[in-house]
Amino acid sequence: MLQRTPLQIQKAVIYSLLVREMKTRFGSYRMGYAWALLEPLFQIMVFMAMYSFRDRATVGGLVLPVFLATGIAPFLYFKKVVTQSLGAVAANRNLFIYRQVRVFDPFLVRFLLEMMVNFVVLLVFIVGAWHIGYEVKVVNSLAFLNAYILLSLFSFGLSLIFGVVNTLYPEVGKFIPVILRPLMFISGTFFSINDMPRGIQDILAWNPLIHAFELMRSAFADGYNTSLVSFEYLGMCTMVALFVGMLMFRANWRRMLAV
Amino acid sequence: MISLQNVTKYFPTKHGPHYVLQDVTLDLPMDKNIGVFGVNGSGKSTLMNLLAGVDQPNKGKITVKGNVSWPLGLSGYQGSMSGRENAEFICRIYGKSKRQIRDKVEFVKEFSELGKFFEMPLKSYSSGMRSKFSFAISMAFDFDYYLIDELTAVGDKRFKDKCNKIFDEKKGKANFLFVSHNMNELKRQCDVGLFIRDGGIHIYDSVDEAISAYNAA
Repeated sequence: MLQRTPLQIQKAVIYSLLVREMKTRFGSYRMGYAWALLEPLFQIMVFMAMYSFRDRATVGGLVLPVFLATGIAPFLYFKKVVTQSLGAVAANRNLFIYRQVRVFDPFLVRFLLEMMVNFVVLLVFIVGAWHIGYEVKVVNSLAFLNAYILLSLFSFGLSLIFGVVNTLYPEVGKFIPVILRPLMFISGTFFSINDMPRGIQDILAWNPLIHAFELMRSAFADGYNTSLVSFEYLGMCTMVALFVGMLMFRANWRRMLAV
Repeated sequence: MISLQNVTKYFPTKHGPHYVLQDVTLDLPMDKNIGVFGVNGSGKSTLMNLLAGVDQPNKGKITVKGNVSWPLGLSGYQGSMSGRENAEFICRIYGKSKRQIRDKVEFVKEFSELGKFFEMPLKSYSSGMRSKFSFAISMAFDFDYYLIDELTAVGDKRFKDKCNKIFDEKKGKANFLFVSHNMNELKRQCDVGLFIRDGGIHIYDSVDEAISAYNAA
C-alpha cells in the first residue's frame, strides 16, 4: 500500500467527513439547507415589519433587508458554529477508531461546512434584495470579506472553547445555549451601534460581534459610520479566541477521546 | 514490525489509575498470526487500540512498521448511513480514487450478501447482517496487519466457509492479530498466543500453551 503524506491524509479525512456531515447534519428530510435560509429570512421579515411601523426604510444608508441581513444572518452563523461544536465529539465518537480521524477533525469540518453554507446564505440575501428591486451598492467588498473571515475565525475559536468545555463537562455546557440566547439583543443584529445612546455605545463596543456586523455593513454604503468599531479590535478578539481555543483543545484532546 | 517499549497504559478512575499495561517491552513477530487471550477487562481491546494508533500509551513508545488496519469489529460504522455510504466513507478516509471506491463498494456488496439492505441505514440491520457487513468491509482493504476484535465468521455454514476462505487467502500476504473468546477459532487461525494478565503480556510459542496458561489462571 502506498504511503500517503500527512497532508494527503488530512485532505482525505476532511473530504470524507464533509460528505458525511452534509448527508447527516442537514437531516434526513433534506430540509436543512432550506432551513439555513428560512430561519434568517423569517427573522429579517419580522424586524422589517417592526421598522416599517417607524417609517424607516434605511439605516445608515443601507436598505433595510441588507442592513438586517448583515446582522441577523452572520449572528445565526456564529451561533450555529458554536452550537455545532458542542456535539462534534459525541456525534463522531465511533469514527475515532480510524487512526486518520483525529479529535480536531469534526470541529474543523463542522466549522468549514457552516462557513460555506452561511456565506452562500448571506450572498443570497444581498443579491436577492437587489434582485427584487432594492437599491444595493457594494462599495468595499474586501471589507466585507475581511469581516466575514474574522467573524468566522472568531466563531471557530470560541466554538473550540465551548466544544472542549461541553465535551468534558456536559453539565457546565448546558449553560452555553442559555448564554447565547440573549446575545442577539446586544450584538447589533437589528440595530446599529451608531443609533444607541452614548453610554450604551461604550458598553456594546466590548462585544466583538458588533464590530463584525458593523464592518460588514460598511461595505454596502458610502461613509457608513464605523468610528465606534475597528478591524483591530475584532482581529485582537479573534486571535485571543483562537489562541485560547486551540490551547484548551491541545491540553485536553486526549481526555476528550477517553470521555 | 510492531514493538512496544516500556509501554504503560492506565485509565483514570475515581479510585486512582487503573493500570492495563505496566512497563511492557515486547516485539511482536510480524510473520505469525497472533491470538490474544485475557479475561474481560484485562486490556485486550486496549492493546488493539494502541496498536491501531487510536489510543496512545501514557508512557513508552509503540513502533509500527507497515500498514495496520483499524480495530476490525462491529463498531466504527454510522447507523444513520446505508451500507454503501459507510463503505464509501471508509474508502474516502483511506484516500481511494473514484474507481477504487467503486470496486471496493462492489466487493462489499457482493461479499456481504445484503441485497437491497445494502442501500438502507445500518441501524435497520439485524445483528447477523451487521456482522456480515462488518466482515465484508474489513476484508475489502489490503493491510499488512489485520487487527480483529471479536469479528468472527458468522452466518450459515456456506458463509462461514467463505469467510475462512478469504482469511486463508489473506494469510499468504498479511498477518492477523485476533481477539476472541472463541478458543476453537483462535486455535485454527493463530500460530502464537499472547496472554494479557495483571498489566503484563506473555508470549507463548503456540496457541495451546497460551490456552493452558489462560485456563490455569
